[in-house]
Amino acid sequence: MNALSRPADDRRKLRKLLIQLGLGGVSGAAAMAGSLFFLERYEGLLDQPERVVALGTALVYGLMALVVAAGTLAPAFGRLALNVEDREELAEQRPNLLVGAVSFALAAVMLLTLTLADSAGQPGPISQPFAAIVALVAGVGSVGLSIAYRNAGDEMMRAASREAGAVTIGLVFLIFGGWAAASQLGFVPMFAPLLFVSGLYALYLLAVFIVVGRKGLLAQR
Amino acid sequence: MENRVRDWREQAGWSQGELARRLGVSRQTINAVETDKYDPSLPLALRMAKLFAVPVDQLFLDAWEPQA
Repeated sequence: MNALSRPADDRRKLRKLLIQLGLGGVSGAAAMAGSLFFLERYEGLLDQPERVVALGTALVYGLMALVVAAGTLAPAFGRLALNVEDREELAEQRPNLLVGAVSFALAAVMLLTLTLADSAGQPGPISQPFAAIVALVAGVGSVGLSIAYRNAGDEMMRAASREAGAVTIGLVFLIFGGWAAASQLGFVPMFAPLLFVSGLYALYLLAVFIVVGRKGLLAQR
Repeated sequence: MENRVRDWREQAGWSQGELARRLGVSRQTINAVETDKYDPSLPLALRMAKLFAVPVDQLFLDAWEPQA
């Protein structure tokens, strides 16, 4: 790239970054506010912090699925919302990105179902048997597709996936292991099962960002 | 690990996309290798060397020296 085009390229990257941040911030806040407003009608549901955490995690996965799917299917939007250089790269990545989007969506469905499900002593708008079936199918489907996504990627994507798994395990030991140890000693109450499930998904996402950031894949292109 | 992949690619007149296509990896992988964010596997490093027709140690630089 020559010296004259560099400022223009920097402006393009900055614009893209601001659009991505704005899109993520606004859509995330709107989705969370909308969901909380809708769920207020179910008395006591939002009094349980683990349900709010699971809802937030489900929304993050759901929005990522939406953005990736929309960006993949609409190249003009995809060039702005996804970290690809041009339409050609988007076309190359399309099949794999779509698999990833469906995997994210299924994870969101599973977490949302558990958030809204009736559970022991805690009523919810979705019955236990129905929630069990949906969560099982969506959870297994999400994990299966994430394995397919990893296998369809090239060696760096597979390495990143392995590293993300290793970082996740480290975070789980640190956070949930530490929490459980503190609980065993009577310092804090034990975490709720739903918090553990949504925490796993949230920590995996955090690990993925750490790993792809280290590999320079978050840098604007 | 420091490398000269970008130099050899530009000398060959290929874009990152073209090199990625020839090696069967993604453009992101080529970009990560060229910016020293990712060290390729041995098979990929050997394929790169074969593609540019240079020895591996001219493509990937390692300052390590064995102790006497």
